Parts: sequence; C-alpha cells; structure tokens
Amino acid sequence: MSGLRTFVRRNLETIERIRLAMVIIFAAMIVIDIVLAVFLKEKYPTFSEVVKENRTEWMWLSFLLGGLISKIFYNRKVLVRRKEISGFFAFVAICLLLATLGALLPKDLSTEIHLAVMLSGGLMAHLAWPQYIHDEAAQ
Amino acid sequence: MESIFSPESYRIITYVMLFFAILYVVFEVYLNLNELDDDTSNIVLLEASKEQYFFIPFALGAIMGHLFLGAQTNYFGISGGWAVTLLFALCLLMLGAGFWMPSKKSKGFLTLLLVIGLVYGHFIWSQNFMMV
Repeated sequence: MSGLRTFVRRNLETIERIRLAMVIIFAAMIVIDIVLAVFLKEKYPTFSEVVKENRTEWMWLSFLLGGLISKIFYNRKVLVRRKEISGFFAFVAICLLLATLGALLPKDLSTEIHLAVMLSGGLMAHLAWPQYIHDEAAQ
Repeated sequence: MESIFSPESYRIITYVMLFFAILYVVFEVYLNLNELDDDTSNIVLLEASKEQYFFIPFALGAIMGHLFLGAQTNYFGISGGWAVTLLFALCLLMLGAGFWMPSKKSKGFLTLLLVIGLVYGHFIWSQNFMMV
C-alpha cells in the first residue's frame, strides 16, 4: 500500500481534480434528489421512489453497486497490474442478464433475494473484476 | 401497490438516473485510459475513506440498504424525514471527527461502517414500512 500512498502524493493535483469532479457529480445527484423531494414532490418521484416502484427491474443496479463497493474497499494488491477488460465484460454481461430477468420476474421479490444479488455483485467483482493495486510487497 | 405518479414522470426520472450512471462510467473509463495508472475513482474513494472522509462507506451502505433492502416494521419509530436528517447529521459528525482527529482507518473499521450503514438503511431509513 505504500506504493499507492507514494502515487497519491506524487499526483496530488490530478487526484484533487478527480475528487472535485466526483464531488460535483455526487452533489448534483443529491441536489436534484432534494429538489424532487421538496419542490416537485407532487409531479415527480425521487430516485428512491423510482427504485422502490419496481426493485426487481433495478436488480442490475444493486449488483453493479455491490460490485463497485467491493472494488473500492476490497481491492487486490499485485506486483504486476493485470488488465481488467475481461472481468469488466463478464460483469457487464451479468448486469445485462439481470436487467433482462428483472423485466420478466415479479415485482415483489423478497429482501433476501435483493441482498443475495447485492452480495453476489460484490463477490463477482472481487473474484473476476477486482481493482488491482500495484504493491511491491505483494507476492 | 398503486403508483402515485404518472408513467411519464417515472420515465423522466429514470432517464436522469441513467444519465448519471453513464456519466460515472464514462468518467471511470477516461480515468482508466489516461496517462496515470492508479487514478480510478475506486482508488480515490478508498484513499479518502481511509483518511478524513470515513463516512463514505457508512453513507454507501445506508443508500444500498435504503434502495434495495428495507424492513417492513419501524422498530425505532423514526419517520423518513428524520431518518434522512439523522443520516446527514451522522455523516457530518464523522466528517468533523475525521478532520479533528485524523488517523488511518483499517479495512476492518471501514467494513464495520459499511455494515452499520446497510443496517441503518434497512431498519431506520426503510422505504417498506407498513402504514398503520
């Protein structure tokens, strides 16, 4: 992990720019959601209400978010970084499959199934599409 | 359950959500393809979480629990509006603590916050509470 810390220190300006872009994206989402919840609540649903309306249709998003969380917090340290492209395509294929299944399955699937989908996304990302981090100490 | 908004309203907000999802993916692809190797948003978020911004795993867990899980019984009697306010307050408290007492957070600690966030989203900020 020391390699990563050195990288962050060396490229602080770029990292700050990425942080700013991410803050702008997340802040825009939060502001839009607040506007929907407070000022347009009679006309439009919030993001949460859209998902709640048919969670099964959004199963792919649960899988994707589970995967992204796994990529953030449970990365894999390696001596030589590997290509992520095949894992990425495998993950996207499952997301597309879930999006198709979501349109066919009943709307009211149990919470346990949604939890399983979320955890599966995390597990699959960890196994097939991890965030590789260069680390000299990795074996 | 009856929808309270028109299908057109749902469609418009769905497009907004998909726009943000695509924007995030394009941003991530750009970061993967630019001249720097370790500058993806995953790494930036991990580094931020390990330092001052350790509220990130808690907030992500809460959002996941809120969107995709959700208990039907409101054990704590906290309404939706108060649950959001409490979530913001907890995140602000953690942010304050992060800047006040800077320290490196372990993976175990971040995992604990992620699980607590998920539990918060499921039991306190649920969308599935039954109307009594």
